[in-house]
Amino acid sequence: MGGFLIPLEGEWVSPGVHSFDSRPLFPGVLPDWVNGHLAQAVIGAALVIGFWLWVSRRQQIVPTKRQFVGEWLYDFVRNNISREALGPDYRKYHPYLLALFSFILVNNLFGEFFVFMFPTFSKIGYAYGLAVASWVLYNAAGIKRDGFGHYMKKMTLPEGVPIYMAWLIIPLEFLSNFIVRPFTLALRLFANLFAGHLVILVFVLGGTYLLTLKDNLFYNFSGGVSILFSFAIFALEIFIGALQAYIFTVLTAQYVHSSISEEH
Amino acid sequence: MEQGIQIVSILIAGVIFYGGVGWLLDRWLGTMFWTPCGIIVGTALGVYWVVKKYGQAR
Repeated sequence: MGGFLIPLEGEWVSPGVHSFDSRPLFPGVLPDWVNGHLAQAVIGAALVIGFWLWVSRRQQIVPTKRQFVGEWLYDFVRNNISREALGPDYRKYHPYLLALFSFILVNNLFGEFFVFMFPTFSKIGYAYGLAVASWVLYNAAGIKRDGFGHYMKKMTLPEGVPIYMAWLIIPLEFLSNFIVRPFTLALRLFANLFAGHLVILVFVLGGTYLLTLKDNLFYNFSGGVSILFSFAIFALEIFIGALQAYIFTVLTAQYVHSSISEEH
Repeated sequence: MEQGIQIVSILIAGVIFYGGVGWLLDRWLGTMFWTPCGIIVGTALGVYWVVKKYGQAR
């Protein structure tokens, strides 16, 4: 066995919540909240900004390959998410939705590729941050269209409620529109990535441990199978990462639509 | 899909709100039975409201 495997031959520590702890990048120099996960979120944002600047530079009537890729992605989000959910007023909200989609997608793919090997949104704080951004957007859009009073009335007391039921329904609608929506947005994204990353950790770390165990051929064999199987899980995680980015964006678009439309 | 998500969040909201009211009553009165009652009432109201709001034939 090569020397680089020696640290793995110690006591077995199964991966768990502690595997998601952030470590300060420059302890003592910078404050502790400057950690690797913050850095990768910032790098993700920089990548997204850089990509869109790069593909939108020097646009021509006959597109180059670079422009074609950019337009294809732009059209994908526009046709399947923005215009689908928002109809003709999609233009105002499309930049946010496109940025949201690419940012989540890039950060989810960080979990499957080298350098970071960690999906940013398996830290729940980052998922809450995105949910708050979407929450502010759909409420602001609704308030701007209807004014605060009318918007609150529309979101809490829909038409057709018998007056004796209203006091039972108002808390339901309020909770469902203002509290449950952002929470489910954040939790859905967080839980999918957290669970997926944990499964990957179990397969890869456990497989490596079993593979390098001494004097037990059966364990070694199981470890090898487990590592091979982890590639299938990686593929599944790439799919889930893309799917969750898509779902988060679609739901944001639909929440915006429900707050700027006349009646649901 | 939009409607489906709204229905789910109404059902969740019913359970959370009326379950929460029941829990607060339990804390206040020192009893043990308001939380399950609240959860059941909340579920029933959620279902009622979903049927009422989305149930018409289109």
